[in-house]
Amino acid sequence: MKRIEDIERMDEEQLISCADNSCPDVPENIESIILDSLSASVIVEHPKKRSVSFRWYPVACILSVAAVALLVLILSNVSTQRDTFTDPELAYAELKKTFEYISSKTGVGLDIVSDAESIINHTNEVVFNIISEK
Amino acid sequence: MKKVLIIITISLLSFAAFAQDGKSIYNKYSDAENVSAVYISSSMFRIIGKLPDIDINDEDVNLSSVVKSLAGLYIISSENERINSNLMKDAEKMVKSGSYEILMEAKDNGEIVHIYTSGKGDEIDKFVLIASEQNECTFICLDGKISRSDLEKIIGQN
Repeated sequence: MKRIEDIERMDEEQLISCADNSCPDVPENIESIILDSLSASVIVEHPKKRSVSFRWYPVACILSVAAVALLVLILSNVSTQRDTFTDPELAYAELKKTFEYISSKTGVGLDIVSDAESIINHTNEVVFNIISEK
Repeated sequence: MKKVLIIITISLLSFAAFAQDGKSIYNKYSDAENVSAVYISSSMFRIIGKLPDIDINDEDVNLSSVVKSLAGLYIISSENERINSNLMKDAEKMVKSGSYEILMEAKDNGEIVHIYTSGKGDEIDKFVLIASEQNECTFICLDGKISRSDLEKIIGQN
């Protein structure tokens, strides 16, 4: 084994003869071995990626939510709700009672309006009297 | 992933808002204690409209044609103090989430009455009355197409 200092002192001819003498045996199939190694390293470094697209995820989520919502809506409508009354006359009586109730509740508002109206009219009269006296 | 979660949340919220209607409120409270509940279906309304021995023709309004076009009536009258506030909240939520417009609001001696309608032009497709007193709360939801003039005649007949 030569040291660096020894190599530096050597002239050109000595260096060539030294290189010829120390040349290792090259296997015959070195080219194919190198090519195989290179291709293997490429496969290891860059494995084939699965082309998975995430673009459809929001669409799939919206569709699944819409499907569930639709299912719930259909089921809620399909579930047959029973009428409180089987007798139409009783149903009619209840309907009439309901309309009367709604009418009475509307009357609460109308009463307040009529009270306010009478107060407004009275105020107008007082103001009118004051103005006419002057 | 965040986008997906946001989309799902918005979809669920919009569905929740959409799902709230008179029927769901009726189903929620109809079996509770001290609650009287009435449901009249569209089929029953059609039968009522055809009854020969009941005079449903008024001088001002022909109830027969009005009744036939109704799709459902949901009434919840609660004297259960524990659920009254929830019933009011749900009813208010329903009208706020829908395309309702207030027809009347009256407050008199502790009694609060709200009347809402939903519809286009002269036609109403939903009528909601929410009335609350000290210990009583009433929710009425009338589904079905009815003209505003007919409704005015019905509620103003007394």
